Amino acid sequence: MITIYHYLAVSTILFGVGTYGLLKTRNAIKILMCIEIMLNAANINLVAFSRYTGELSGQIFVTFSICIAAAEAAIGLAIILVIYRLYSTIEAGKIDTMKW
Amino acid sequence: MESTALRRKKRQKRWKKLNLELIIFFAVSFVTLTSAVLVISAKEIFHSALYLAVMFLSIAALFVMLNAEFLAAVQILVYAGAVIVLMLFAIMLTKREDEKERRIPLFRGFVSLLFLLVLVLYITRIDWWNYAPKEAPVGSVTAIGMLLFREYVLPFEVISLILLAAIIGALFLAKKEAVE
Repeated sequence: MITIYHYLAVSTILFGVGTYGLLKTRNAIKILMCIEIMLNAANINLVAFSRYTGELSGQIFVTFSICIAAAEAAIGLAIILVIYRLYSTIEAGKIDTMKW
Repeated sequence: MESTALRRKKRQKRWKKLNLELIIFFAVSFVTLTSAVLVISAKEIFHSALYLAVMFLSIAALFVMLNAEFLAAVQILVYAGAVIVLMLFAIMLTKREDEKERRIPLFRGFVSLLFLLVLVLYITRIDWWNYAPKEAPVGSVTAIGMLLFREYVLPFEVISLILLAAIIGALFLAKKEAVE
């Protein structure tokens, strides 16, 4: 029988993988991809709880989460394009004109 | 009162059905986690984007297993359909750098892995619910629509404003400056 623990474990490990990738990479687009991985891990968590408590509100939450994640990905990628246009690089360590 | 033989046959059939479900769950979650690891470890960022698409699709399969068919469809449409295309466009419009990734010191890597392990074990030790759900919510379009347009109609309208702001913002940011 699949208990809720199975889905929680998948969600936690996926979140850990996303965090590790977020901290390790320098490429700005890969950072956005790792953010999407973490958001999906949270979505799995929400849907699992929604299934195992009978509340449908968890799925509504996930609907909104997906909408917001898509909007955030669009704006983040637009910002990355502008940064590339200005600095010719998208490496996270190289964009440091605001450093003292 | 059913006979013992009939009860034993019913129990065998139930065990067989659940075993297949478990196998499918492990297959889908294996694909999810493997493609996530490949996203962060692929050399080319284009390959990362493709592995991310595979991960989104396998998460949609996971949603179907969780009785959330509408969410699985939305996941495929929005994530695997739109977000991946956005990322591919952004990848193609920017130059690929030779990725010199940050070196994570070994000790810190082990400590964080230990932390993750502790987190997983702690979560599985909490007594959430040890039984299968009695009435599983049907994530059909009807059921979600009833909730979305009654109790959650305000967040629904606010989301439309958020999407409008995102569209205008992304368009404004990404358009080329007019040549004077």
